[in-house]
Amino acid sequence: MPNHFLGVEGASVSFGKREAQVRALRSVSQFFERGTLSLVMGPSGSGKTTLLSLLGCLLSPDEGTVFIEGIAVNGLSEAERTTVRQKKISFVFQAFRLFHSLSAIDNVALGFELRDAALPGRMEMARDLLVRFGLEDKLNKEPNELSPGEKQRVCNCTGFGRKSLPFF
Amino acid sequence: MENIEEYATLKALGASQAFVARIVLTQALICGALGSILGLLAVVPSIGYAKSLIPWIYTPWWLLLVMVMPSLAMCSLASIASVRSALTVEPGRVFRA
Repeated sequence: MPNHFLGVEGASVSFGKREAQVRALRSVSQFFERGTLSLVMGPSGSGKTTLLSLLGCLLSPDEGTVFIEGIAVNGLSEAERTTVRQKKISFVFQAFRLFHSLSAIDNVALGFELRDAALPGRMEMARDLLVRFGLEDKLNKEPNELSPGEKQRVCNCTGFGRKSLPFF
Repeated sequence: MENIEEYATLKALGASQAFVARIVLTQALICGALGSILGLLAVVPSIGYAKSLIPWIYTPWWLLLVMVMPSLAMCSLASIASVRSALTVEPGRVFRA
């Protein structure tokens, strides 16, 4: 089982305490293989976001195990989990989550910087990516000057630029 | 801490605690430095006026620098609560709209 690229085994997650406790996931096991595109579908409140948070190393399960590249990550310290997110995972957020005080190119370059602070040519790489996504005239625009579609493309650049899988 | 969501995003993308703390502290120090400059701009002209009224007033140049230090220290101390909030924010918030 630990050889699986990505997955959860027997994962349970609850939020809240006592009477207010809500069980978001109950003993869920699901694995995803490398090179596959997987969709998680379900009604509102069925635990999709909680499952993605587990797989993205953003949340630890109350019970069960989370595997990323075959490694059980829920036993890691917070600092080690941060390193896993930094090195092994890419995100493209539905709500974009761009930094409002930074330009489009700085937003993308920040993704590179967080991955590797010593990486040379971050701005050039960010510029190349944005140009490939058709945003050559928006490099120095801040998020509030971009349309939702353009924000989505900047967010995609941030995610693709990190060149890591799994990709959420 | 109106930017708490941005700190959650930074942490989700793999920013270390030290990186996040450094950003908050840097912002506090920049605010402190700008405030000190504005304060000095107000104080320096008034020194001349004070001297015209009370001739024995002595204000060496280094006293102005010494005045800046407590303001920077106070801004750093005041940022501790913000640093704590930024460090404890759950990165899992990023998936909630």
